[in-house]
Amino acid sequence: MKNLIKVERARHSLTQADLAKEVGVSRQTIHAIEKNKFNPSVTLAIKMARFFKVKVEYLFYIEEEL
Amino acid sequence: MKLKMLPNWCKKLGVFLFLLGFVSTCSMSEAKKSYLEGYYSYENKEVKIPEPEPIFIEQQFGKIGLHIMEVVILLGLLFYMMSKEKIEDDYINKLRLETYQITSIFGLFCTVILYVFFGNLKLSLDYFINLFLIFYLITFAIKKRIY
Repeated sequence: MKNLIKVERARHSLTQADLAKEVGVSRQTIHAIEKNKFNPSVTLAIKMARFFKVKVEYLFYIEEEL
Repeated sequence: MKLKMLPNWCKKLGVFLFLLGFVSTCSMSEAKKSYLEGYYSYENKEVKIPEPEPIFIEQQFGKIGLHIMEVVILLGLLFYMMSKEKIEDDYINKLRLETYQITSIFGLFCTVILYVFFGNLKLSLDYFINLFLIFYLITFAIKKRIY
């Protein structure tokens, strides 16, 4: 699963620590999600989508296999 | 994994217990004697080592004082291990679970190796407890700091 968190974060001029504070997780968690090393829980995915005011399907997407 | 864990302030209690136990153990007459023996054997001196003064714990509990302080060290490490992080989330839980997995496999591996090559080796339980606790704490700290 891929995500656009880094893009959205840049759009809102936020650091990983800022976003982590807003959604109530550690900075390491945001870094791990951005690097696709960790898939967040549904709750966290919804929290992030709500924070960026986008749909969860936009923020997280599954790359189609060719 | 949803384990009931101790609150974050227990980490400080763990560090305090560990330091208390560690300092007490190091300052006991048995330990002092060992340092002096090591020091004099290095210099190849034939010196009669003076009997060190027993500290408070030894005066109160005698030989069992050392065992009590070793238990305090283990309790300190256990408290630190079982305490929550400042920010507890799914990722930290995942790291903790991975660390338990690695530590268990490593502990089992060490035990099997010892059994294969030194079948008659007699070790006290504290070797295994210390190995497990220290390896767990080091692995978890490294995993947390990778990112």
